Amino acid sequence: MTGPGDTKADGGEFVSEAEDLLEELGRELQGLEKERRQGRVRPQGINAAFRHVHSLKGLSGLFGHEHLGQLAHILEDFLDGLRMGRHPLDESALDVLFESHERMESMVASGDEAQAAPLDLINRLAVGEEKKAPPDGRRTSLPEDILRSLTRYEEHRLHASIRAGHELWLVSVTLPLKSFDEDLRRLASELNECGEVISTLPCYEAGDAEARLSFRLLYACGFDAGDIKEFLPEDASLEAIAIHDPQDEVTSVSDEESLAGSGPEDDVFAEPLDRASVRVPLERLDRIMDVVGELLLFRHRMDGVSRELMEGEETRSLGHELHRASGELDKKLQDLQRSVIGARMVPVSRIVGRLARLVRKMARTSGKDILLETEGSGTELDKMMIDHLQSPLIHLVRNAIHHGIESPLERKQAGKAPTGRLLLKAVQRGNEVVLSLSDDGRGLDLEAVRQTAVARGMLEENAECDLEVARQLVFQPGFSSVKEVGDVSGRGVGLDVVKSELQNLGGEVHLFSEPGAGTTVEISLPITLAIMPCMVVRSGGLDFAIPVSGISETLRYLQERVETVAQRPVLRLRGETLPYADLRELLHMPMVNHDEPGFVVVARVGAGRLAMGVDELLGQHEVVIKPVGSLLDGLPGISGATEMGGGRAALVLDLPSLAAAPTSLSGSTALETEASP
Amino acid sequence: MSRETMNISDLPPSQGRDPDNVTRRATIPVLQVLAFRLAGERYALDIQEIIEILKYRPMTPIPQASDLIHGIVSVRGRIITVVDGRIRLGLEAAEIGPASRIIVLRHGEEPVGLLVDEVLKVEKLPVDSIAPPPSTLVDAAARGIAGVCDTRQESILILLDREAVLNV
Amino acid sequence: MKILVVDDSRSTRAFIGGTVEKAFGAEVTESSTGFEALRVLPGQVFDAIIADINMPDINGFELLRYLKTHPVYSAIPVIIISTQMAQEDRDRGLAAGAAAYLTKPFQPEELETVLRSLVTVEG
Repeated sequence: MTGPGDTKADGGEFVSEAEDLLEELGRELQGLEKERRQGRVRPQGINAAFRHVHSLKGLSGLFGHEHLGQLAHILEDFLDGLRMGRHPLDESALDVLFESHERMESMVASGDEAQAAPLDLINRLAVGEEKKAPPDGRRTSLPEDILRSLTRYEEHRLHASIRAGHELWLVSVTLPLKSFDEDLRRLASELNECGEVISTLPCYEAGDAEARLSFRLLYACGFDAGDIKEFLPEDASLEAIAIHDPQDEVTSVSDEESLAGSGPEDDVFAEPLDRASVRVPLERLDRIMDVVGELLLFRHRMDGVSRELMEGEETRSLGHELHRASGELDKKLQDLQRSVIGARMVPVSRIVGRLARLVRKMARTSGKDILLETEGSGTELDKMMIDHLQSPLIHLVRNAIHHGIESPLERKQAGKAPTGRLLLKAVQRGNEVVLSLSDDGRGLDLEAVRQTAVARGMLEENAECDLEVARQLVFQPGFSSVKEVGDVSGRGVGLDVVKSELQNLGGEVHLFSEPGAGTTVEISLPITLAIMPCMVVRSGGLDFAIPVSGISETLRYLQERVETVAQRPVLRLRGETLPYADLRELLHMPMVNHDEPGFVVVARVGAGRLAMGVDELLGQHEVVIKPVGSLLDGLPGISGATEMGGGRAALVLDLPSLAAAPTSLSGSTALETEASP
Repeated sequence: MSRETMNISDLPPSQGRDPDNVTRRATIPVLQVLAFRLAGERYALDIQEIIEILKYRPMTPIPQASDLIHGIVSVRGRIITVVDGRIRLGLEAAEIGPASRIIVLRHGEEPVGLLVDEVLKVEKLPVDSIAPPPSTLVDAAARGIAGVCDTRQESILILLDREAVLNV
Repeated sequence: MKILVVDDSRSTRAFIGGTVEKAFGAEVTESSTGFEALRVLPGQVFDAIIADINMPDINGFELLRYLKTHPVYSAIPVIIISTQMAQEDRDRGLAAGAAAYLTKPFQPEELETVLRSLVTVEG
């Protein structure tokens, strides 16, 4: 057996364990470097590096390797400083870490005594006086026994999490002895995706069978309880840890929370956990989607190669074979793409719970009797869509209750049932989901709309206001028909905000109203924004992607089809006249030579259509749409970008803002789109 | 590491006259910067702001965007907006050559590129050698110039402030 | 005498195991992580447990805490070992119910002495 005296005899064992530790340390350091570049360094990575160096120090001490021990010792202090947040993991810190790692490797390989003491590194690693973070005034309701079993490092992470404004949770799970370690590691890595497991504490529960073990996990994260629950096994329990800030005794409750008001019996949102499902962060699915998009580009290139091969005399049969293989690959890739999109889908029912609570709460405060009904709430939409739909829908529900549905008395007088009905309906139509919210209230009050519009200067004093005009007016910025600011509705934001929020999601809003009988707001949305079939066109030497859903047809450009009406170019198409512009003009690109465009893309914009001239049609592609970044935010006509292969990017056109853009031909006024019959 | 990216640590280290900068560091803090060339002048950015350095590759120009925006490029699935360093600093427009590089910088949550003529090296500047921009340069702040450093060995090094430079 | 050694370092486990085997003829069970220790605990009755503080999955304090709240295991003396020089960790270990604290590297004799004082050695 081993002992510190047996150094020579057991050199082999020392070397093999030291090499293992150094290999793991090297992996950890590389991970840290990568994470630092991506701007997100996991504290767990620094702690793991610390642990490996710590073990190496112990090992060197055990076998009497003095120089290695010295270096490991100072490196351990250095890493301790990093994990305790005393100094940052910057480029120079990484440099010295990598250099130390390399030096230790050579010390282990060549034998310690052959090397001089690593004084240079020791000097660079030497850290200044230990600065203690000022004590945090906040107290937690963490049980004393848990607090006492935290290491210094875990305690530091706890305080860092509190400072970062994270919430603390105590997760209790009971797991079978047979598999608890795997289960727990899996759970911890899932939890670590969105937060940090600070401490894992096995605990004895009275009545625990021999075959089971209980654990309490101290977990910090920015989510709320409902979200964490989805990670947990069925029988796990969750306890929020209160954080008291002595300087902030009065905690303000946000509007949403107060409206949502909840006792446990009030929680419509709680859904039974589906045991057969896993929760995956959206970014991971985004990443898979990116890879699928890249694969499709490769496939495209393969197709090109196969075509070239098919041209050649000798390579023809090879080309055909490659072409077939690439066709098969394409089918499989599309399958894969559909599956990934499918994985992002969540049912509309996810937001119904919240709306139901809002309806109940508002009904109580307004003295109205209201029933929320849903239809097709199993209809699925991209998770990101669902998340962004919440606030516009809440706004529409408020509007319906405040302005639409009458008091029970008023309803009785109008010969209606005393209980008002709100119906949220979801239907899938092709690549779109249509959501509609209907109430059976009083409908748009045309006279009230007219008066408000006049008062706001949006309508002439004596102007008529029919239903059509009113429908347009209510979506205008600054219009709000609220007479007084209600306590639960009308916060000065109108339907225009709802409309623009939905347009940002690629959606459209329409309002239908029948005086006395009710109002329906219909929202149509693409099922997903992450990937879209697009027509890729070339114009002025640049490639642009146009969502296929916005294209009504494409045709060859013929000069005789284009005429001018009141100085503006129009395109005649089967008896209709459509406003026409060259895409280069719409985007204010230089028209170097006034070459005729080769093709015309007829786009649907709102209720109308717009014809655009482009140089070439490059074909239809499934396109992964990416944001263009904050520096280009708000550029008219552009909604994002996509990769076209080889690092080239193409811009994705945003048809509504493109149609609204002033063109040089039409002067400063927006290009009007012709309403189709 | 891909062929097209370069690790900052791959760059030649500074050949400064300070072989003993270990002890130096203990007394005077140093700033590690990446020096690069723009229209014959030497500029630098704090190395901590830099994610990576890319070789120049063809870009997609953005219609209707400001002249400062050179274009966008897709790097490993992310779309990066590239700012033309020369135009940003009020110098003559860029000429793309074999030495042209894109310095990818952190800008909030997203990476943003800065097009430069040539990447020179990583230098360690003692902070006491950095002076405020000369008062004759009235629009220094607007151009994103944070200070100057005269190493007396080469031409003056002009220190840029990442946030101000990318505030376009 | 049965001893459980919990340490993520192979060599440390071997060193401790060798020491107690030689000195007491003890039967040694080794665990490389706290989780492994939790798994072997129910099957046997140990006379002492020697555990490191810095380990992956669960640390020595967490293991100690568990042992001390468990009706069956709470009587087993636990020796905490660590290279950490911090007085704080030592105090914490003792406060959480550790019977003794050893700082690595230590001589076989030190371990022997500590163990002898904690466990009634037969023969």
